[in-house]
Amino acid sequence: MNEPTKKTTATHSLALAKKVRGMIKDLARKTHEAKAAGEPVAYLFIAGAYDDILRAMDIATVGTENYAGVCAAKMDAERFLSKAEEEGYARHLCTYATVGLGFDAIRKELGEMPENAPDGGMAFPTIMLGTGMNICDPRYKWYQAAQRYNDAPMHVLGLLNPPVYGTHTDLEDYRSYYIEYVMEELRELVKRLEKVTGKRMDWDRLSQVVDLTERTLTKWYEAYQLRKAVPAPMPTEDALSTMVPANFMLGTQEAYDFYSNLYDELKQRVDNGIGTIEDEKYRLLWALSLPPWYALTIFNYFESQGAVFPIEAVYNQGRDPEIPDTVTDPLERIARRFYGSMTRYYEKARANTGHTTVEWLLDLIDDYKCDAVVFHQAMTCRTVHTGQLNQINTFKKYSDKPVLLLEGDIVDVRNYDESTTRQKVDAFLQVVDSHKRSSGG
Amino acid sequence: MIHGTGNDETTFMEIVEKVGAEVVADDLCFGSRPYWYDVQVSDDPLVGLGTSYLNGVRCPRTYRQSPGTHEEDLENRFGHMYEFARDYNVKGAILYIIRYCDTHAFDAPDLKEYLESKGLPVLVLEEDYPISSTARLMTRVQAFSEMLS
Repeated sequence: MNEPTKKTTATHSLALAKKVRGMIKDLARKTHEAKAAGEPVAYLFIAGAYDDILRAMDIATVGTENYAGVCAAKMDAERFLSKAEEEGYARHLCTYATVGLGFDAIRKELGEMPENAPDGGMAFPTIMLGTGMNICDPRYKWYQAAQRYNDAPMHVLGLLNPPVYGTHTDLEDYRSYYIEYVMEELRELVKRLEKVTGKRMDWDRLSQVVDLTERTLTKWYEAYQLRKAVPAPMPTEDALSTMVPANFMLGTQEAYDFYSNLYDELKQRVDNGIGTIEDEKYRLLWALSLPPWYALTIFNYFESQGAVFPIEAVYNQGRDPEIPDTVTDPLERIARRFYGSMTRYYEKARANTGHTTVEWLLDLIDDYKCDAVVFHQAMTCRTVHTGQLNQINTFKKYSDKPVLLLEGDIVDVRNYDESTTRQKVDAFLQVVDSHKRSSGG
Repeated sequence: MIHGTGNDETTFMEIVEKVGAEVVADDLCFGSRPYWYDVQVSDDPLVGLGTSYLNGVRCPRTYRQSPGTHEEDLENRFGHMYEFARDYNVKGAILYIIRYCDTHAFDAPDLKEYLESKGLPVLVLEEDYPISSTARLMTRVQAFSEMLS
């Protein structure tokens, strides 16, 4: 195994992207302050549809997946992974989860935060919020296991969406059922939070938060539309930072302002023809693949060879679903947002490839003028990794763009080899070059 | 007693028997687990069936809300296995986890702790499907069997 090199920012990284690390530290600081003041703190997952509710109830949040990513990026995940393995958790389990479990185990053992834990560690949770969502098993098994170390209640928010890969049902026939189901789950979540924290939901405030969230997501989408420009004004490695406010700070003015500023910075770059790298030879799409957080330098390597990632399918929400103004119940608006985002490509897939993710990739390739696609097989993320080959095979039936599949992990550097990865990149870029020439690009 | 994932290979059972042990109870996906409960009679039979699939099958994939403390949570999730062990005079339990069945793998430390707290020795094995090394498995099962006797 060769460890990745140090540099982690794009050649011309956005000024805003560089501020995100400070925002993450600030988020962590707020959770520690909340804990010290006796205020509730919730463990939670990304894209769990509960952000607006927690924000409206002033409950501080710890994004546990994000924390594992931070540990990986700081090359400080190994002690937590080792502890989880010592506790009996298999090495092949989701390494976001095993970092979290290892951290919780050490904190319990010590009776205090692990020494020099990144960002002061994760604040002890008042409640752990899982989701029963057909994204991944750790969304409920992780926190269930974490009850070994955290004497805190757990709540699973059932988030049901139609089988998006199916082509046998007419979505319109079932839409109201799915939305009502999620609304009922959200109502139960509010009740549970009120019971556990002693706080009361202010429904008017929730409506305001939902409105702010929707405006934030729209602003995020509008900013990313500017990334279609040639040369690429913002690369994927910056997007791995700029996704943070939308995923961990939704419903705050700070998140809205961030995307307003992002729009302005991107506009300024596009208007002045400023790209990520000096000589943009190849534009690549980073597929729906979680990144190797410990080796974001791989993006710099691509760039050193003239290749840039103007867009990515991961952590990219796309256009927020349109919800009629006549829908005034904030829980219904949250449920519709969730439903709309999960079924966004359903009809298109049904009419074309039969695969929603492939539709998303094909659209991004066209819209962002990409020459090829790069997937990353993160070994311990079953959700994204399983079905990836089928995704690639389906994609190839509808596009002749070259495809690269990198191998690694989200957190565990033991699953990664830098020199092999670079060799793959070198060979791939030759193929991309040849393909571009033969297709007149 | 064998607990674990869906497993249609007889090899593992044969290994257990070869070392002189007997499998007298199981909690396997394709074994007793999906059959060890009665469907409750309901006005709408589909409600009874649906409820049973969700609540009757004690599979790690189904989340059960913790009734309170961690100990109560373990009892709620794994109590049926201790009843098996008691009713069938089980001397030891093997948690046989086929790699990449994550819901079982996440449960393994909790289940081991629970059964051991009841005085039942536990061996946790993780294996590929199909089995990649019978000799290695045999060695570990034999050592466990000798410890029990």
